[in-house]
Amino acid sequence: MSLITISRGTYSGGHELAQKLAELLGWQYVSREQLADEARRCGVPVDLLEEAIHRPPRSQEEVAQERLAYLACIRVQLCDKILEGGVVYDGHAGHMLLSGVPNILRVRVVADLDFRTHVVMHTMGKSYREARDYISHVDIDRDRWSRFLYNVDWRDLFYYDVLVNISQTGINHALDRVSEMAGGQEFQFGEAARSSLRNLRLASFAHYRLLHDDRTRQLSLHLSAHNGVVSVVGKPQDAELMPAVRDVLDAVEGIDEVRISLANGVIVFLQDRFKRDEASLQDVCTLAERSDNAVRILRLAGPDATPGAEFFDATTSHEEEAGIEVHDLVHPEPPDGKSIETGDDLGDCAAKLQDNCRSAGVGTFYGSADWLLSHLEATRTASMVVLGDLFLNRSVTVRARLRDQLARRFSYRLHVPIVTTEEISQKVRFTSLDAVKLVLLTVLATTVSMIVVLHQQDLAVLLEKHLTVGLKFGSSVLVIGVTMIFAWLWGTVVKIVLKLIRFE
Amino acid sequence: MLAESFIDIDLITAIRVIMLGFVGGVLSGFIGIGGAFFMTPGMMNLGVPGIIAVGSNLAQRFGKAMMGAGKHRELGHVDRKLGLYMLISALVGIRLAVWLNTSLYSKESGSAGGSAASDLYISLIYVGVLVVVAIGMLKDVASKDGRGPSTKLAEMLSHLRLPPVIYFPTADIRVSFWLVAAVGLLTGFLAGAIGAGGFVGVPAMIYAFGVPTVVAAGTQLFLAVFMAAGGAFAYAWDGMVDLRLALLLLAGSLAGVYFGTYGTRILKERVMRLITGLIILLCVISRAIEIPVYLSKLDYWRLSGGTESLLSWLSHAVLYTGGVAGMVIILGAVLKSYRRRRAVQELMKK
Repeated sequence: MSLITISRGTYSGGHELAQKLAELLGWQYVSREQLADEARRCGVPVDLLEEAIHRPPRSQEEVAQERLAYLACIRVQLCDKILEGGVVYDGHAGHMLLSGVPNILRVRVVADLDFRTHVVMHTMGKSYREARDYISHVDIDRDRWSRFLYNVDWRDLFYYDVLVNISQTGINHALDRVSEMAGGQEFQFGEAARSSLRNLRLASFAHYRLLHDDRTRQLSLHLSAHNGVVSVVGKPQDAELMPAVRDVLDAVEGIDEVRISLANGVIVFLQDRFKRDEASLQDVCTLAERSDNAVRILRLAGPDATPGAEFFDATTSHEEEAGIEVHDLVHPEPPDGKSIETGDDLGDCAAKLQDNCRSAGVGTFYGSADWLLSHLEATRTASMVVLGDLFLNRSVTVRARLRDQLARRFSYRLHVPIVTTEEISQKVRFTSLDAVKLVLLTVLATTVSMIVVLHQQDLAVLLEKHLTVGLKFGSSVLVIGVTMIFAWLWGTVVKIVLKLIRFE
Repeated sequence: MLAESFIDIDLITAIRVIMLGFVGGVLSGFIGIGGAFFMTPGMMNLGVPGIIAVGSNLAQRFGKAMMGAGKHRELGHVDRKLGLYMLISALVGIRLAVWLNTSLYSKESGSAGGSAASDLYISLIYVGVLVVVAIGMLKDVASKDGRGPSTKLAEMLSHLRLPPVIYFPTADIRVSFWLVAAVGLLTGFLAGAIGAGGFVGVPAMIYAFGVPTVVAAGTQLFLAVFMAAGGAFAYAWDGMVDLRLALLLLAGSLAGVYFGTYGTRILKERVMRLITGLIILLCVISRAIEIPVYLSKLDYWRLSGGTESLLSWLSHAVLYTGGVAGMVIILGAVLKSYRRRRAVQELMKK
């Protein structure tokens, strides 16, 4: 069981390479067009989606459910084909379709524009200019399609393991090199990949069924699966329809348990190790409750530099598991649900979240921060990211610096709040410092108010229309300055009071 | 005796202004714009000249926007380049609105009509703009597909490619400079005239420019800080800001805005539009009722003193009914939804 994804521009030789590769390896050839045709047969309005990419972003939101149905449908089909054996997928950004599944060989095929132009002229009988225009239009459409579906720039070379320039290497040489790479240990699906694939398939299939049921098709849901347990996060305003969600999912084969939470978003909580009783988890739960979010716990176990990596090294070799790696608890857990090697109790943490109806699932991420970023960008799940205790095998100073760098990168790319557990504890816990601030700022705000109230006459004289520019300027600055100071004082007092009464 | 343009503020008036700010804050947090549509006429009903009400409201808007803009900037929801281009033309629009308003006020201040001409001018713009917004929202609620307001005009404008065409990186769009300048000018003019520019700015950015919703909201809030500051400064320059009113409004609105925002997380969009549309419509009706009173003061229409008092009372009643009922509906719905959600969550656990 293995997967090679070929991402390519039109007439760059990628299509031919994919077909020959499948033939050479004896694997199944699957193209985007095949999956799209099957989606059409399943009732997904693919043509409507293809047309939507030419509309402005606001109008694209109108087909959000159809987009999800399409993705769920083709994910299930692709997962099924991979579970049967090796697959060569011919389409752009196919690996984003299986975002989170490790051990995929991701190939980007390019060719010089002149090479592509001549192929188009020869194959389609177009003039040089027409061929150029044709290539340009198709490339733009593909770019829009990938952004629409996965929210990524598929041309970014960072997403690939290997770049092949067909106009330089020729098809046969490329075929040899890619097939040789595909035989490498790091591109064979291990238990981690298989488990990840099964979880992804189950979550996608469950979502697909929900999107095809009249009672639940319009619901905005976030689904994740882990070893037969499906976690669903629905919007609070759709609370009445959640029993229907349970009904639909109860009928889906392969689901052992359905966990439903109501929330407006998902907080992704990243940490190297989790413990049920740690204060930071409680703080995140409190924040989630106050801000109407569910929590997805993601344990980081990158291939380098983290304690997770040490655990990783102890159980499997880098050669066996390198590459992208998000998967849900792929390592066997002892019967009590605790992973002894890491001191984690993810199972207990998941139960704790579920007790509060705040669970958006648990999982482990094996890979670099960049891959995690790509995964979060593509899945668009996080409404907030919480960075907990990370880089635990580094010194305290280095740990703080690395986490700060990580926060900046996440903030730049994800456009959602990136907060640390310390910031959350400051936000949700009412401390003695807050009490002091509350008293002090209330006194100051009251003083400003009293000055204004007790000196109405003087103030009116100061503020009324003046004849000199100096006085006009002075009174204008007074208005802006006093408003600014009072807004800050009173705004902060209100925030602290809301924190005290646990209203966020 | 206070200056000619300022009202006396006793304890009862102060509490009424704070409540006005609180209700305005709840509505503002709920709708996502300044809340001037309620606070400005509310102050006018308390006897504050329209021009002072607009100026004071802009000052409180500045304080409130300042407290909220930072988060959007941190999240990268602000297209600063777009904000800057719009701000330049918006400041021109504000200056124009302030000049018009103060000219009208200056012309007849001291005459029998008092601030009637300026009040009439503000009320007419207010009714003209907000009646379109309210009807648009209610029409949208009534439509079966629920696909939002008609965007034909905006889509037509979005095809306008009059050079120079400028690229805005955060929003990732290309728009004609003239279109941006025109929208900025109109937004600024409305902000300066009635203190409510967001009704034009946000929809224009989304539908005519193609800016993503979240960036449009962030950029508008970024703009609101400077526009409100510019507007408040311009009005204060002419002595038309009552700092006492601004602070009292802020005291109420900074607390109310949180409750309104909470409402948006609970209620369905369709219900939100319905409530918002009805509240705005009631505010518009309240202002429209006052128009004959201003016309009478300017001797364009003869009304007896009793009729004027009756109309003013009716205007008060409609405005406060709308605002308070809206607030009660929002807070009640928040509470009801919260309880229902807890009940369903309990059910989920079983």
